[in-house]
Amino acid sequence: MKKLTAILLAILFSLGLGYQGYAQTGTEILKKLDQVMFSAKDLSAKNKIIITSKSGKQEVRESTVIQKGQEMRLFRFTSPASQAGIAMLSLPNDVMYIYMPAFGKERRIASSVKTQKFAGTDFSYDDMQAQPFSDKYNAKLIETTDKHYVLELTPKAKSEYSKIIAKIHKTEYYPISTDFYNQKNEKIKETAYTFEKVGKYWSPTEIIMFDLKKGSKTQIQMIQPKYDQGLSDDEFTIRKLIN
Amino acid sequence: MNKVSKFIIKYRILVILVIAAITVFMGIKMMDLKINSDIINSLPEDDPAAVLYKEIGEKYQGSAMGVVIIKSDSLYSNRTLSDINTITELIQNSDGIESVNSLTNVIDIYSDEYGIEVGHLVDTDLLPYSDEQLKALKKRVEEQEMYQGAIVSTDHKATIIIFTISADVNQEDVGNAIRKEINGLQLDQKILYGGLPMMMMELSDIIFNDMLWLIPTVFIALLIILFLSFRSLRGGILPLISVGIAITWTLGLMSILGYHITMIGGIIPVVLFAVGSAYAIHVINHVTENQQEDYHAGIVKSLGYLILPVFLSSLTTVFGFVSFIFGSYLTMIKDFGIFAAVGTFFSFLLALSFVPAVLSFAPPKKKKRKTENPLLNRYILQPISKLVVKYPKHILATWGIIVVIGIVGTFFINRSTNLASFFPEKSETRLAEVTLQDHFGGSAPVFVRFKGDVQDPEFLHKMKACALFMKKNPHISNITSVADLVEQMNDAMGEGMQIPDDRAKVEQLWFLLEGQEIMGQLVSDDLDEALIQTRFASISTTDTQEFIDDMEKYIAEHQSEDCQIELSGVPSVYVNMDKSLLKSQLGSLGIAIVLVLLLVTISLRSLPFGLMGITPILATVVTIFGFMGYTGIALDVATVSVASIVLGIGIDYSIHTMNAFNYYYKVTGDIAKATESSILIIGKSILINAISVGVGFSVLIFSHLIPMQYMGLLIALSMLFSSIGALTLLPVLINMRFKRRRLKGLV
Repeated sequence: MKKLTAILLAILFSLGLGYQGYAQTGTEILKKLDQVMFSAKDLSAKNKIIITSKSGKQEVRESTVIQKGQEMRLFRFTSPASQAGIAMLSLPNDVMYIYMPAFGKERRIASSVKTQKFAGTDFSYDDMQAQPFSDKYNAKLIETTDKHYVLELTPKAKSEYSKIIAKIHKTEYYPISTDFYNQKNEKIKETAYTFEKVGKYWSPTEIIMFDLKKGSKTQIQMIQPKYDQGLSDDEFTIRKLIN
Repeated sequence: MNKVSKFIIKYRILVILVIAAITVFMGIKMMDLKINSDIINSLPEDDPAAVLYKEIGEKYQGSAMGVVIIKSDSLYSNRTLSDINTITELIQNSDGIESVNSLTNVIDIYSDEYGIEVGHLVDTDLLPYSDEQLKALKKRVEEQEMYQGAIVSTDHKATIIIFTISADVNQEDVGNAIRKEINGLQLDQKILYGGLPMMMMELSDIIFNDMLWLIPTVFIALLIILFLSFRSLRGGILPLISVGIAITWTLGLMSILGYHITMIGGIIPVVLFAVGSAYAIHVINHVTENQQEDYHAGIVKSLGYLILPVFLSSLTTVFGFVSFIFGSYLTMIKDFGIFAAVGTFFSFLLALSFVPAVLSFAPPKKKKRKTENPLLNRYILQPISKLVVKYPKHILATWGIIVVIGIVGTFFINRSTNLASFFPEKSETRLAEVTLQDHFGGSAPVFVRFKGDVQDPEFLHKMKACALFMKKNPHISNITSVADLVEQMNDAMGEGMQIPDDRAKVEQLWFLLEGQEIMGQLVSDDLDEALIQTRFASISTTDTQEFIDDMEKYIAEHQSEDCQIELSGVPSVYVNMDKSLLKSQLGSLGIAIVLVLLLVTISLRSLPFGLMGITPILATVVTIFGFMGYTGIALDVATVSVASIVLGIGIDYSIHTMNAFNYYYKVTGDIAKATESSILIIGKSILINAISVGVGFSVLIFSHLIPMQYMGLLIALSMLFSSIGALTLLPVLINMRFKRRRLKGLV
């Protein structure tokens, strides 16, 4: 009887260890992903945003973007003509300034509504936020194949998502795809990533977001990304926004 | 015909088995019948308002708007807010939902000289708890027009959650699922449901419950009457079984052909019980009264004698129902006409096959003739016959006065098409509707569609002007359009609450708006059309008509090549239905009159007789219309059918009276005697039939839908009037005609 108890305890112990081992690995993988995604000090690039509606209608926008760290970003649209010159400056604490050339002035916009769509795209403000995954999600490794890891991410705080299933490259740790599930556990969005090595960084050349409920998709392509150019904080001011 | 009758008697077991087999088959099919109370589906496909309404539903995140009303004396409490949040999230996560708007998820846009702050009115992560926070929330609600009177009632004792349902799902199922889940939460607050999808769901429940209770009720009521009239179990139960089979066949056929039970279709069983049992009664009576030594030969003889009159009687009733097929606008009334006619025909067929086949097994006990019902003779029929013979002019004058009063009353008839007015005043649906009207600007969505270049400032100015015009109507309160949003954004840019004159500015403001969820409800993807959305808060037909007339006039004056304007929404649909009601009434009544007149004229081989025969029924119809006018009973989807039904049933009484008069005039050669005999002898069966049909229909008074209640009452009254008419007015007319000796020799 004693022997049996000992065996049972041993099994339980090893199961527990095994579980802990997985959890650690999941968190570790996510931290490595964050390192790949957010290790550059700054970035400047051109963006092409292609929005395709359910009916197949396409709308193309182009912009330049500069970014420093995780919370400073300046977008400036270059086309179409009606939106050319509109610029958005994101600063820490959800503060954003928008500049409209037709009005010739800037306005501060603070939004705490994260589920709102960003400028008609399928990305929500939440999706656009350059915040490390490991800050927002707990990770659990649910599958390992010879090419990738599959993590189940559950939000730490209240979120529109109940979970995200992320497929991550096994050796380079960049994301391959993320599937977003709503509170009813239905898949509502899908993201596919294409990464390329630019200098010492893995750079996302294209991100495609599918809104499964609306049937629309948004592609964001990054052209000529340049990393670690030594951008100063002065680039992210209202004066620069208006310019 | 004799051959068929002989066949039925000879192979009676086979006949019964075949009928039983069909009945079992149809019964199984009947189980698949579904209830469909969608009133929009019932509009013809060429109705522009309905077409636009459906189109808007598909294009702009659903035109079907459901409302959950939460009543609470302490709206601004942590607990109530938490419940509102729970319900909001529950609806958001339900299938088939396009948008949800509530106190706890509504966006709060705050702008001052520094900028714009976009947030939620209520932070659901940290619901307000302290008195201070709750007071601040109340203050913010009071400040904003878009909250008070729109999401929160002016007295702060109720709030609503508005949701729209996708055009490609079953609205009723979605509504049902939501109601079930919310009720499952067992919250303390009083919760009511409103809006068209919720009303339709309630309607389906009522149709189902009505069928469940009214069918047994009419069965028992008729059984009692038939038993009292014939003092035999067989005389009572056999006609009802025969009609029960006809009903099963009819409903089974509906199911096979893919039809649904509608609001008015739900009463088909009650109608058939009331109308169809007469044919079987005739057969049983005749067989009982005319028994021969060879019982089976007697039955065959009876059938041979009965086939024509019973056929004619059922044919007139069928004509009454068939008139809806050509005269009606709503498909549900047409469908009702088709299947009530089919069911009547089935009742006729079964009365001449199933009933004799069953009767052939054992002869009924022959009753003592004409000794029963002395009361009917002494107190009703004898006085009537005396009156007719002695005071024909008085009778004529009395009817004349009644008809004149009736005609005057006809001008006071109201019409009612608003679904909400179909529910009893104390029902929850009606209470919800009243709350929505009094505190939230109603529940009937209105859409004005503008086609043109949406980003053109001129276009937006036109939208704004139209919205301002609409606001003048006392039943319109909260209006939303993209023009308002552009103004708000312009204000946020520091340039005031107005539409900028520079197109480039509009385009750039658009950039801010594009992310907003509400844009999908207001502007098309291609930016070539935009909607003004509002709600209409009156269920009165007059108010609705006035609003639509004003709008149509405005649209005609203000639309142009570059800016085409169209009006749609529930009020437009109701107004079109209303216009169609009158057309339906005149159309179906006209067709019914022509068909019945034709039939009576052919069967009596005389146009004057045809015209005389139809007179008591027309007098009845006019009287009933007058009654509706004076009592305020509205013409609606159900009562619109009364006149034609009454015509189809009531004409039988005239035919009976005229046939009897002709017969007794031939026998006696004396007008007075023929009149007296025909009233006394045929009067009894006319009255019994009128009473049983009247009682059958009056069961509808117990329905939970107001139109059905009135329909039952009106038909029951009509039966009284048309039977009395056939026994008073008609004999007087016949007498007058005979006395003038114009028709001598025609008999």
